[in-house]
Amino acid sequence: MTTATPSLSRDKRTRAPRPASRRDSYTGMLMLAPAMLLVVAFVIFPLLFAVVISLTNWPLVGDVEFTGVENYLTAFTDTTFWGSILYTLLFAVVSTVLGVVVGYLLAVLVRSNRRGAGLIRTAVFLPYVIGITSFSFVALLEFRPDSGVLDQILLALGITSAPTPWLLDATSATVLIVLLGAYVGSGFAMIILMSGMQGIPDELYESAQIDGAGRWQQELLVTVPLVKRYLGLLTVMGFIGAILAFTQFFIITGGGPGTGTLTVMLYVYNKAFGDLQVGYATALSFVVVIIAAILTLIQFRVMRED
Amino acid sequence: MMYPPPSLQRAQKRRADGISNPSRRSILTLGAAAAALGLTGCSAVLPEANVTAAGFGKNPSGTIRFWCRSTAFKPAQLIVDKYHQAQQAVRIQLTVLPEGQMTTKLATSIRSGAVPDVVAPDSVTSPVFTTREAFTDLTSLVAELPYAAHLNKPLLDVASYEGKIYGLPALSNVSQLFWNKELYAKAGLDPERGPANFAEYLEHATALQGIDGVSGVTFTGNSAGILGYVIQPHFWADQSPFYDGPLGRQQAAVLGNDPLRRTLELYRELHRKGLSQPGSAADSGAAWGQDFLAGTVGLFPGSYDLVVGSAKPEFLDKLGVSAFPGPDGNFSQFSGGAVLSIPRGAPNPEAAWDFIRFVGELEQQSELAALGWYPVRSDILETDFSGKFPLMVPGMERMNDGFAAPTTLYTQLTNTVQSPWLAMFREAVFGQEAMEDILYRGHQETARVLKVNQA
Repeated sequence: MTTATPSLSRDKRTRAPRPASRRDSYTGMLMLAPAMLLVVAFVIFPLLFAVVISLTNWPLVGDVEFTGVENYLTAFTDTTFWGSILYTLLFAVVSTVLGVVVGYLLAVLVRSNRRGAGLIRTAVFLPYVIGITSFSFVALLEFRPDSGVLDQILLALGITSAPTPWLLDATSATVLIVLLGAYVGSGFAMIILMSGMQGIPDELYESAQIDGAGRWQQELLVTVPLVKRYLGLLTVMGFIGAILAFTQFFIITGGGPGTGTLTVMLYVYNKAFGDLQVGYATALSFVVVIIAAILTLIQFRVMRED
Repeated sequence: MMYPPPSLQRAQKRRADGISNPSRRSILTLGAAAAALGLTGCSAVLPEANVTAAGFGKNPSGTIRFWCRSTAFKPAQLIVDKYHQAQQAVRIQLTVLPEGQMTTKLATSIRSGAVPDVVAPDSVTSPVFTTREAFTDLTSLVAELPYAAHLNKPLLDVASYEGKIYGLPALSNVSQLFWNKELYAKAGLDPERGPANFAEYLEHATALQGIDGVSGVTFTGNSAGILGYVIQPHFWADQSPFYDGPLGRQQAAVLGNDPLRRTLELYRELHRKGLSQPGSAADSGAAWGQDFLAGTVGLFPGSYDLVVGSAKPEFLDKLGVSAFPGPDGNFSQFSGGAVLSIPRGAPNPEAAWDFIRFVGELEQQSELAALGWYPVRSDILETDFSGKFPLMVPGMERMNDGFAAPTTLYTQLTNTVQSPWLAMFREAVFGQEAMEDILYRGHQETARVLKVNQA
């Protein structure tokens, strides 16, 4: 007995995990079943069904015909579609960079708990809570020539001499929408970066200071490297969000003038619910998903190499 | 020694443990099952009620669901209330859909098979459904109506396809050319006579512009919908739309379309000579016609409901009104509005038809006029209507000279910021390019839109 005890305890310590029996695996599968069922019903089935739709003409009203890869072939020669892709990518790059930079600067401003920081945090984060939809409607009114507040201010300051139809020019409309996006979204970037900055130990700044680093060097050599992951997260999220931009363009410009501010999601929406060509719109969506996935992978790869 | 790759090792171990992975075959089977299940709902043609059966619609009962656009909410509610007062057997659930969402929601309901009993889509979108066998054929029922010969023909046309009628015109909004008689008198023009052709249009606008602080004409230069509503009648007057042909096989008709070209040239001249209000290029319709209502503009291509609904009573006495002149003297106007249809698969088509028939009666039509909507029956002019609604009379008299855009692609061709119509108008009127180039591009873009959407 006395000799058996150490042997048993050694066995206990070194025993390999018992292989899952058939019964165990069935139990596991049974426990996973409800979640799997939901995933199949709401993710896998719709996805497979979307693939099927993209291979048909699916006109929303009328008979469905199987068209094979015709929708995809049409997509590759659809100049409006590729124009909207290019425009969306440009918008995504500019708005993501601006959103992260503004968010970073705001985070620097409010990361310490000095007096008034809470008020600034609330004020900057509030537009994010209110949301882009409400602000788009406000912007639609305020960007109008004559009655809009933007024109009133610029005229009063003497910067412009006559009412300007901002939304009738694709460039000025895009600039305003990018600024609106930065105004609404930078509060979120600020909160994420602020929490990252507040996690940096003060000792690191003290060490840098002792080594002779100034404020800018501390920021560049201490803060930025330590919030790099947060910056990466915001860049990926911001970029994907910008690729899917729809609401502000739908409300403010409708994609116009002409196709001057037509984002790819707005084009897909118009095809599906304006032209009732759901099959073609679904095929376009898959092309967008593939492009977005490739770009996101590139972003991850770049960040990993960093 | 060669080892199998890690993924294979894991698979072998799981097999040894009695755990199996989903095979490629099972995934493909799942996909095929999903596809098969999905495609079972592919036939979107729902069963049609037999409206020729004896006694159809004679003893209606139950509840019907009625969908209308938010624009038509007031008249729809009025008619529903009157219908409820008139009988007890049928009750109506009225659903008001946001403007611009009727087509999508109705199409989705048809695809799902859960349709309302009566729908009142914008008349310009009716052909989207009539050409796709989505509505019940009402030809025999409409023919039996005692007032069938008096119905608004342009609206009846957009409700028809290949000789069958799929809806009954219910209410109409009509674009008209208004002028300020007081300003006309000041400018030395005949206050009782508006322009009858393009030469007179230009002449009148020039004379009106001569009055201090007055613009000759006001028009919205950046709203596709409004421009379609009030400018296209000029070339429709000569039966020259910028697309032509049978539904589903229409072709671009921009090049060689002289009335269209002259219409664009007219508005280019009005703009270049400063005869239109400042800022017309940027005007997207938010303040449509407000300057005319303020008495600072002589001519206004507009809408009856806007003018009469917004003007002070004393201002109405100063108004002259007519349809839109063509280049050399013909007239036309846009006959918008709503056509009531019964979607195929409607649960209660008998009660639906009883309600539709009720809407078409003169008493209801007369009450719609009080809300700013034109009646859809010409025989209303034989009643006291003319005395009650004098500004509606010219539009009613020309009811069948109007057009209601018979195309399945009105939205794509005219009614969006991406439409070839808006681009063509803006480039021609506010741009500097040669008209030939603009028309060529307009023709190409119109042809492209038709080709892509009629494929």
